[in-house]
Parts: sequence; C-alpha cells; structure tokens
Amino acid sequence: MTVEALDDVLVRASRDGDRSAFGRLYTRYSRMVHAIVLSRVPPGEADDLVQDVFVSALRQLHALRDERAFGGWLATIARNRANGWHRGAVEVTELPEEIASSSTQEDEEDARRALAAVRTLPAAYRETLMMRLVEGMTGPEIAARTGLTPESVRVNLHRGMKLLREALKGGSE
Amino acid sequence: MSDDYLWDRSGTPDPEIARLESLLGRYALRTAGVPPAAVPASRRHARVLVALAAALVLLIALGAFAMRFLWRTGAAWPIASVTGGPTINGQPITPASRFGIGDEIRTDSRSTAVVEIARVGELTIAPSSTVTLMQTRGGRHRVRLDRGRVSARVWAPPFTFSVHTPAGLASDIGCAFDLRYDGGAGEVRVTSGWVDFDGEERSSLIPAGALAELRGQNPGSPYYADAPPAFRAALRAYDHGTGPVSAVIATARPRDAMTLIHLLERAPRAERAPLYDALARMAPPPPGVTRDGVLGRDLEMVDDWRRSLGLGGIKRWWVYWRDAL
Repeated sequence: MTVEALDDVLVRASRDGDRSAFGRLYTRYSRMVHAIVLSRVPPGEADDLVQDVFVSALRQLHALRDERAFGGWLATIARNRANGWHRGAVEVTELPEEIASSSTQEDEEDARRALAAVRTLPAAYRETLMMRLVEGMTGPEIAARTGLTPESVRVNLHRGMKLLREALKGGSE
Repeated sequence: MSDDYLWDRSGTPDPEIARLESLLGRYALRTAGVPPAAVPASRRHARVLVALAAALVLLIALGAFAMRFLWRTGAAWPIASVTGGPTINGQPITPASRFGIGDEIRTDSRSTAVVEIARVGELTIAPSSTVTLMQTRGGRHRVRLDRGRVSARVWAPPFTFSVHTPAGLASDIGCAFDLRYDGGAGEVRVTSGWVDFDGEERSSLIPAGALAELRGQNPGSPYYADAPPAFRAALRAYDHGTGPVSAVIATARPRDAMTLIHLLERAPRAERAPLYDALARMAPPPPGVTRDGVLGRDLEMVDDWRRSLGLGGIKRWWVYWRDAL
C-alpha cells in the first residue's frame, strides 16, 4: 500500500471515530509537525503545540476533501498554529529540563546556537533541516510525509545545509 | 560534504552533520507515538485544572438547559397535529399515536402531519410525503425522507438532527430548513442558520437564504435564492461537469461570493486561482488570508474568509433561537 493510500484509509477511519487510526496518523506525522512548529516557536512550547495541532486536525478532519493530501494539509495547520502562537505569546528561550544534567555547558551553548542558526533560514530549508537534524527523519521519509518530491527535499537539504554552515561559521567569527 | 549521509544516513558520516544531529537531537519530539488524548502534559496541568473548574461551574449553571437535549434512546416522538388523513404504518393517526423507530408516516395530497423532534424541535411533513423515523437518542435524531417535502425547525447543537434522502444526508446546524426530494431530484432550502448536506462524493454547506439542488447522489453547490438565472445555469453546468468555472465567475454578483467560497474548497488547483482573484475583487480577504495559502487549500484561511462575509457563525447555533420558536 502506498503512503497516500494508507493515509486515505487512516483518515477515513479517523473521521468515523476510530481513535486507533488517528493514533497511527499521529505516530506517522508527529515528528514532521514537531519540526515545523519547532522552526517557529521556542523548544519548550513545541510539544504542547504539536498536541494542539493534532486536536485541531481531528476537529477539522471532516473538512479535508482529499484524504491523500493529509500530510500537506496537516503541515499547513501546523504552520498556522505556530504562527498564531506568536500573536499571543512572549518568546522566551528555554531548554528541555534534562539537558542540564546530561550535557556539558559547552554542548548546551552549541545546541542553542545551532538551533538559532537553523531558525534564521528560509522556511523551506528550515523545516526540512529540522526534520532531518532534529527529528532524525531521512530524506525519503520527509518526502513521503510532506508530499514534497524527493528532488525538492534533496535540494532543500543541500541548500539549507550550505546556508547553515555559513550561518554557524559567521556566528563563530 | 557527504550528500548520501545528509540524504538518508548512508555512506560515510559527515562529521559536522553528525555533530549537529547530536546537538539538535535533544530538541526532538519526546512524545512521538502517543495520541493527543493520552499525552501527559505537566505544563498544561494548571490550565487544565482551571478549565475543569470553569467547566464544572458551567455544567451546574446549565444543567436545566441541558435537559432539553436529553432523550431516552428509542423513545417515540409525540405527534403535535395533523390535517386531513395522514397514516402511520398504514393506519389513521389518532390522538394516542406516537412516532417510533421504524414507523412510517404517509401523507396524501391533502394531508399534513407535525411531529415533535424529541425536545429539540419540530418537523412538518407536507402533503404527498413519506417519512420514517430511523434513530432517536440524546444528541442524535434521524429520519428518512423517501419522497415529498419536510420542513424542520431545530434548536440544538449542530448535527443533532438529520434527514436521510437518496441524494445524501441533510444535517441541521441550527436551525430551519425545507427539504424536498422526489423522483431522483430535489432541493434543500435554508431559512435560518446552516445546513450541511453530505452526498456520495460531495458536500455543501448552505447558509440561510440559500439553497442547493439535489440530483442523483450529490448536492449541487449552494447559491442564494435570488441569484440571477444566468448564474444558476452556469453553476448547474459546472456542477454537472458540462460548463467551465469561468462562466460561473463571469455571471456572479458580489453577493454570490458565498458560492465562490464553496467552489474554492472543492475546485482543482487550476481553477482555484481565477476563483481566488474573482473573490478578492468581490470581498477582499481578511488579514491573515493569503493567496498562496488559499491556493494551497489552507482550509482555516478559507473558513476565515467565509466568516468575513458576515454569513453568521456556523458554530454559534444558539443565536438562532428565535427562529426555532
């Protein structure tokens, strides 16, 4: 079964109230959604926002006309929710709780700097790199979830990485 | 740089990418695989407690109000009034008659019947109609219209009351509509609130003052009852796949923006651009609604745009209480 065909089945089942089907959609897409929101909001807010995106998607599922376009549709909701977060929040920089105990001070600083550098990139590169470097998704996975062609993902990764290297290099000078 | 490693982690790891993975991996989603409802979210606890407390107060305050929407599963509906000689399951309706699940009310060319929809509204069965009660319980009441016409007035949350027809399912979103179906064709006409009509392949969201034609197993696109004949003809042709969207746009008045918004939701990508441009001229999009977003089928944006047309809120069903009296 293709990615789109499986999405089609899961979306239809979810719309009929099948919570396990929606759980599978969550499992398949939560990392993509997290990467998209993390490219726009502080790390400490991203997990909650992922939940909000899925709750919103569940409520709006009846309005999705093309079940096979679920990934792109969900990505749009994630962008809107993340952009909306900025309208009602004061941005603060925060780190996950366990970092302090499991990382060196230098690593913490480098991680913060790397994340900030990714977030300066254009949206297409930023989101793709978040999926690859933060969530650990491969290029083919990113293409399957977002609906982008593998060629587009490859270009985004390549160009995004080039810009990221420049940003990090510039930041350390 | 190793493009293979960047692409799918194959080949020799690029040290810089591996270092970035190690650094940034700490920000990865920590709840992957857990559906939204089951996620423990400590940072939400305070908000959840406040919300629960508020909900409790609200529940107590609205207890009596909620009674309206309670109904014993399968309990028969009272028959409020009749004219002429309608029948229920082939027998004349008497003062003791009630409309239960599986019962069929038939009216001839000179009779009508009015039944109460549990406690949430009233259904008038016009002459020459056949209606069967399919389901009734708190929050969900369904009848089937095999032929003829019914008029419903309902004051209840969306999708509480629905009418099955061979063309699809008409669901009340508060609160008054007429539905006609006979011989493979019909129409649903909304006089207050909204109706959602779901066909085999298509859905139409119809606001007050508008109607949708029914044909086969799908509803047509909604349009206002006062739409000019040329617009209706162009829309009908487009719905049936025999006419271009450009003809619909060319004959649309500013008031027909409602119809174009509907088309924007279901049109293929190539047709969304001219629809967007026409709509933007008739009713400029509100802040936050962008051309790229709408063409990319951002349904939240489309909903925002629809709301900006001043058609009334779909979710604010309670404001139509006067029409349910």
